[in-house]
Amino acid sequence: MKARAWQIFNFLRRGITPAGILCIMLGILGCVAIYNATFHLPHPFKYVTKQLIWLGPAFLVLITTSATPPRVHKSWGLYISGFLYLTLWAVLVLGVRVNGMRGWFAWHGIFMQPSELGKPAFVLLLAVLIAKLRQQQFTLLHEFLGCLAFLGAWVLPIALQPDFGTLMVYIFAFAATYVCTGGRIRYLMAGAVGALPLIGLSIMIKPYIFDRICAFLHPSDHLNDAAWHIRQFQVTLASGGLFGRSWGGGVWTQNYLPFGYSDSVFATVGEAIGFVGLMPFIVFILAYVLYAYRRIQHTTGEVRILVIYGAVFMLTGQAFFHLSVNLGIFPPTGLPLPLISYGGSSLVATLALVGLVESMSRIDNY
Amino acid sequence: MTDNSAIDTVSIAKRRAPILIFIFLIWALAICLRLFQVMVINRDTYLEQMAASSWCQDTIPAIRGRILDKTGHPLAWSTRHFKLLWDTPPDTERCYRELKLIRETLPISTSALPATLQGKNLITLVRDLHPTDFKTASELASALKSVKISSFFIRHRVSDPRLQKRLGDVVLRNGTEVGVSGAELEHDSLLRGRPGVFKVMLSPRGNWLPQTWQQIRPVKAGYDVYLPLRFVPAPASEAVSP
Repeated sequence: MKARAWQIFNFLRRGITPAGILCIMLGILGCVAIYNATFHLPHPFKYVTKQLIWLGPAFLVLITTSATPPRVHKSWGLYISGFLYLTLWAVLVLGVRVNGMRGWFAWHGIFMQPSELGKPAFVLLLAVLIAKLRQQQFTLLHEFLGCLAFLGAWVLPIALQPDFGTLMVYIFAFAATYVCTGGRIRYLMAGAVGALPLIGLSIMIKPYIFDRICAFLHPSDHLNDAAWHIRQFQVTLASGGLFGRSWGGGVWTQNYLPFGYSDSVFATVGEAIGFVGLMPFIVFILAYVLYAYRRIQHTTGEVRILVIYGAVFMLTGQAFFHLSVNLGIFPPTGLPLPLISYGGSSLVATLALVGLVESMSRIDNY
Repeated sequence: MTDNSAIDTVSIAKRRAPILIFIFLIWALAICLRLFQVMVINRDTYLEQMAASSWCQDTIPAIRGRILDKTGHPLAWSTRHFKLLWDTPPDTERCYRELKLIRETLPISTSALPATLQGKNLITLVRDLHPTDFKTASELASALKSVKISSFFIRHRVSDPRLQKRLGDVVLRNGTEVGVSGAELEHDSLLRGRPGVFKVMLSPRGNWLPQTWQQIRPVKAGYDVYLPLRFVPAPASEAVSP
């Protein structure tokens, strides 16, 4: 029994890496950012307490995923991924609707978002699929069609929620991974053209998508409705200026900016710490990209490299999409900033992806 | 390109890894430039728009000075009072919903309300708020944008008709008492005082955000004016002697 416990301890200890520790520290910084955005509310500790509680299991997921050998991810991971895919459909029936989107399971105040938890699963399954299709010597076209079918099957329930922000991140991660690992760009372009009727259908079913795009293109014409949130982002950031108003001093965050603890957290933090304070966030994201690049150069194994690409594109793509939305260079959509925004599922999924990168890039083939 | 083998994928992936860095470098550059534009270059423009839409500047009326006799006995003086106003919403259903909340919060007498609310804009719910009701009225005004607390002055004078004629009258103009006859007019510039100016941020619902209240100019109460007469209040009648 003691030996078994020691075995498990040693196993988990392998999962603690500098990158993982840094991500946990960012998660704690995220709690500070959440408190900064919510301390003026009637229940000031509600969101930050929940986030702190989620940090525990998220840390466990990180070290477990990181310590698990790649061959175990390829076997057991596939079963877990399959289960997570089923939850994407189950939430459409059994889930609760929040802000117009049926995307959460709720149980005694605990909310879980399958579309977030499904991200590491998607990355893993995509990597295994591409590797398998190439090993089977399919032509590039058939390989692309197979991957496209997988993408379509995965994102369809997400589109039905509807959660177009998360959908966008999935599509970006898929496209970037496919191209960077040997795919043909022209097939991707053809796929994008082929998806236009679907986009048109989506706009017909959900006209608010068209409103948001129009508001993004002509914000001054839509100031009182769809562009109102865009204006709040800009004013909140401008309020911060070069050096910010200090933590807790964000007047616009406290009174005008909606969802300052989740979808608008970058603007919230910007008002607190200013332009100078935000630069380290962007530098950190780029540093992680560089870290992943070095890991890719030193890693062998098709699936491993595909997983690292997918995870990095998923994580950093989402981060940059969040920043772009907050800055008004992308139409407004609800996307959390990984590790910083409030959201237990997002925190767990992010650290699982980080753990996957650590596991896949480990040099020893144990 | 026959690159369906494992070796090809790995070498292609490693060769194309700089694309990864390139994509995010360009993206990060666009973000940094846009961030600099919003937070530094165009900051003043956004703050002006912010001020125009969310800040409110108003005046605090100054209390009018007293008119005293040569011994310092008050002949005319002002007191500040508060009334509760209701700007009835055009939507009938919302109107009656708010009325229900108002009635549940404050003891409004039925006589204070008109027979029908339709067509009525600004209704005075309470003509003179008692200090004990002020807190409740403030909470009601915070909850309902259409309910406002407004201050006004009442000018009091001694009841002697000859003295009243000498003292003169005041009228309210833009919330300030202005002398229009008699001593009130003669010494109006001294009695009137100077209103203060403040600014406060409004919430999206139009409510004041108390923590943002700033005084721009302090209020200055009117000076007291002494008249060259002596007022002798008598039990039966009030007598005046020079």
